[in-house]
Amino acid sequence: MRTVLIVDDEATIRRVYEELLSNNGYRVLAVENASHAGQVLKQEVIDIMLLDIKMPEVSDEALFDVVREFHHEIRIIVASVYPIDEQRQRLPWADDYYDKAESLKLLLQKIAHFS
Amino acid sequence: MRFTSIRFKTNILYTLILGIILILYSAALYYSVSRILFKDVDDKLRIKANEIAQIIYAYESLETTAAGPFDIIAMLKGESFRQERMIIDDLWRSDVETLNLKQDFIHILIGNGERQLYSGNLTPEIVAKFQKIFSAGTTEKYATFTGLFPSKSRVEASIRPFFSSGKGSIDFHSNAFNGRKVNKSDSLHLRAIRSSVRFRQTVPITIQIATSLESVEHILNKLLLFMSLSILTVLSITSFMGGFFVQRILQPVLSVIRAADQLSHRDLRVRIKQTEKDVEMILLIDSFNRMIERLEKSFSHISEFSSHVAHELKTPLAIVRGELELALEKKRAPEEYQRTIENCLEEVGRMTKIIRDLLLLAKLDYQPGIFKFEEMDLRIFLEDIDQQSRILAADKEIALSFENETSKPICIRADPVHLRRLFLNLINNAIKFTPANGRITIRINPDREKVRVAISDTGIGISAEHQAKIFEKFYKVQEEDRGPDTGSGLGLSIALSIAKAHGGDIQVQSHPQAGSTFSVILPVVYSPSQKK
Repeated sequence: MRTVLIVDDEATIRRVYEELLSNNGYRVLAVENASHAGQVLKQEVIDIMLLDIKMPEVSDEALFDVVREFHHEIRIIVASVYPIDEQRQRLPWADDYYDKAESLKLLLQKIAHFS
Repeated sequence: MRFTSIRFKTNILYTLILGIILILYSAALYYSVSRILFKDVDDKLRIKANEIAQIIYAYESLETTAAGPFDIIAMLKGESFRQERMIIDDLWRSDVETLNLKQDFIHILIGNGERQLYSGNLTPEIVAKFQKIFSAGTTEKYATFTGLFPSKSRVEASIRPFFSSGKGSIDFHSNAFNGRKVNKSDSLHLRAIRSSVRFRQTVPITIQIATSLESVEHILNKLLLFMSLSILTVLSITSFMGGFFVQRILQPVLSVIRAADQLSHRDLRVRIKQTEKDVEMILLIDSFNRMIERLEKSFSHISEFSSHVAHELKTPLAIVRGELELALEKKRAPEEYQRTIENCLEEVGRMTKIIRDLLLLAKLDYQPGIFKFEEMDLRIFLEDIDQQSRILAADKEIALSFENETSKPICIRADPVHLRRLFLNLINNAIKFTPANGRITIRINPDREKVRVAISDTGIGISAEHQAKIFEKFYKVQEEDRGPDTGSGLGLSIALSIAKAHGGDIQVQSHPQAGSTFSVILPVVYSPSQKK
């Protein structure tokens, strides 16, 4: 069973994604910010990370760099409300990008792609 | 060059002004010169008339030695006193030379006009003119007239010494004119004098002399021509040079126009290079560049703002979509659907609040007319707000106190609806970020010109790095332990806009975990210290 870590400050979003992915056979962990994510990464083996980014914030970027440096095996999907080209501009080395206003089916497809 | 261009107008204006000045100056000069020249002609005429009178007086003295009856014609024709007369004749000849009488038209009337003496060049037209212009009177009189008179050459040819001696050589005629015909081209301007004397104190003698104004007119015509040509030349040069200089001066304006043409919302980086030396042009270019800079900032602000708005609205939309898609994934119990619908409604409410706040903020910032200001007592106003807030605070078991140091009214000019929104916003924030059993204090501190209302809480506080940004639109302090984010991120922006519209400000003092104080500063109409 693949493990997905959701990093998102919106509780409702975390709940929706958690339920969606659990229903589709994933083990799901959800945290609200980068520092909590750091703690989870120390204890758990994560396959896929859904990372929300806030444009002016730097903590998301720092988390991204930490994962890239120390957890090569983790696939990162950047998931935010920004258009995909803006997300790519911000974090060019992510494995995939997801616009949260798109359908959940698309998200599932993107996650399934790395499973 | 267009007729409506500054270059054309400036050129025309300055040329006109210069033209008028030159014409006025030239007219004054022409008038002065002609006055001097005419005065000179008149002076000479007077001298001539005097000299002729002197000659006649000389004959008068001659006559006193004579035995026969007085007949001036006979006397002048030399029928008596030949020797003495010759002396006077010589005197006359020299006068004719020195006074240049040869070219003048001389007419002498003896008695009441029964005897007349003429210079050889006198024509009936001139005599008629004399009669016309010198009607009566014995005093000296000048006049100018025009007519068809003998040409200069013919006049010279016909004149010999006026009172010359010798048989048949006398060149004046006693009774008739020689009746010569004259051409049209002989038209002359003449200046005439009439002077009256009395021979032997009984016989009136009238001397009428007319002299040609040709030389004077020649000088004046030359002067007029010279001045006209000078004015035309000066004006042409001025107009040409003026056009050239105006074009040079306006050159920077053209570069501003070119730069402005290049501007578009895609590229606001255009700036004009400052190469000018004229102060006005330096100012113009500086001002233009500053305007573009402001535009550029404003555009980038708008673009950033739009991106913020999109992001803020997309988050609740993403939640609504996620909730709905998830609900449709499989059949669910009615309670689950109900929960989904409730969650969606909550997000719809959030979007509505964001949009409503954005619209309000736009109105506050760009439509000053929405404020309905009235004078009111801030003390009573805050007491009311205090009462209202106590209910909200009580729910979280927070103690709210109102401290008013003065019992006198504090009059301010404010819009009560918007000011209420401002204070409730700050108090709600204080309640939101203050844990249960905390304390909120509202304190009024009036000054001479301003009143400070401080809202202090014992809440979680704001770190220094966030304090500077909390009034920015959509800025949310991203820290742990701040609880769920339910606001639009526009509350403090709205509060500050309202304070500014009242001529006031909001200041914040805060230490993390020690609480925050938001101070609203408002101008007072009169404070208790002023009102005795």
